[in-house]
Amino acid sequence: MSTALIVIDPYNDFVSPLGKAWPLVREVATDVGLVDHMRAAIAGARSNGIPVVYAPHHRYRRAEAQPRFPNASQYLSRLTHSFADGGYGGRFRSHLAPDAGEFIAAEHHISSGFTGTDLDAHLRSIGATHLVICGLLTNTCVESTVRHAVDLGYHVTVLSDAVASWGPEDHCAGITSLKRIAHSVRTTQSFLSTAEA
Amino acid sequence: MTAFNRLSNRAVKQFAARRLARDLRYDPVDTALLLVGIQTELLTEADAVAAIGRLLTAARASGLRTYYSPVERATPEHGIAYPTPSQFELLPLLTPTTGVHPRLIPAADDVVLPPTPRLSAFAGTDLADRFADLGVCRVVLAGARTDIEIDSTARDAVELGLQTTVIADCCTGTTYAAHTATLEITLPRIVHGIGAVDDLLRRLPE
Repeated sequence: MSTALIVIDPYNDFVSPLGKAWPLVREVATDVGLVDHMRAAIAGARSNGIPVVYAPHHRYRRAEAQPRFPNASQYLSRLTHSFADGGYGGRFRSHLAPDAGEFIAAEHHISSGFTGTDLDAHLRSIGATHLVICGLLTNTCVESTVRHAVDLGYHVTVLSDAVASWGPEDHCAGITSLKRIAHSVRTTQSFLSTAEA
Repeated sequence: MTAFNRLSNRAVKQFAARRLARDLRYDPVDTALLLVGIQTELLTEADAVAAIGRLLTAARASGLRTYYSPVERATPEHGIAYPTPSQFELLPLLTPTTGVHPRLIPAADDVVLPPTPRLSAFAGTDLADRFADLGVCRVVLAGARTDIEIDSTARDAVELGLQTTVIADCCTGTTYAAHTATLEITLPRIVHGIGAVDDLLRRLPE
């Protein structure tokens, strides 16, 4: 088996105190220790030779074709210009950002990190069979990416204290589903102790 | 939950529900009804079975294309090296010959797809191609299990660009709490419409 750590949407808009969505994400992020655990997972993966792979969400751009049937999240992104390309919100939070040479997949437009991107091709090219997933949001992009990964045949672990959502309801709904549809839902500490073993 | 979170969540969901509802259409020219896991062992709620029956009757009368996507057990022959807890839960429930619920038998014009053990009815199947070939761009989704196969199928439908409606009272989940959380908390952020069968019946063309 070969493991990769997938980091989903660590944008300033989500995880920095000046980010647009931070006021909504803050409660769960603070409760679970999101940023510290994401940092620890990324650092632990790097020091144990586990590839760190980024799966970034679509960045808002002013002039671009709109989907025929946008969903609620897409309407919201368009209204708030979330993750604006070239702006502060669309940059990765500095201490969660990729190191030189780490793979950044193409932007995903809806919620699965795999749809319309080169994520699956890259993971297969490095022989990854086991994915460890962290990032945002628990019940949207994280859960969609997990569901898609399972159907693509990967073994999927979710780090329960390195994911967060709009509030405790959304986060808990996500964790409840993930316990059935992922292979393992565990803490960052538990992942790190295995990675170092 | 903080009051700020609660208020802003409610505002966003209400805005989205109203804005999205304006664009919902169920024209038989481009709409399909997709029934997932319509099997006796999975449809544990009598009310849901009755509701799906009414949904089927109305969909056929309106001329919606109807697809059945049965769920089956994940085995090594499917190439599933790592079954999930949700897939393990099906092992004692389903038999290799598990059929469609006897009160929801397909009609001659309905399409019965090969059973799939995957979370999404679109994964590893030709369903997306079938829809594209026929110009289907809207899908109405119902069946089992709400928090497992319905959720994954709904997400994939949205990712494929289909306008996606889930019929809440025509679904049953692994638990009532998981069913409710999926339909009331998570899927409103992802799909275009969630409603009861009666809401849909009012909007179906005669």
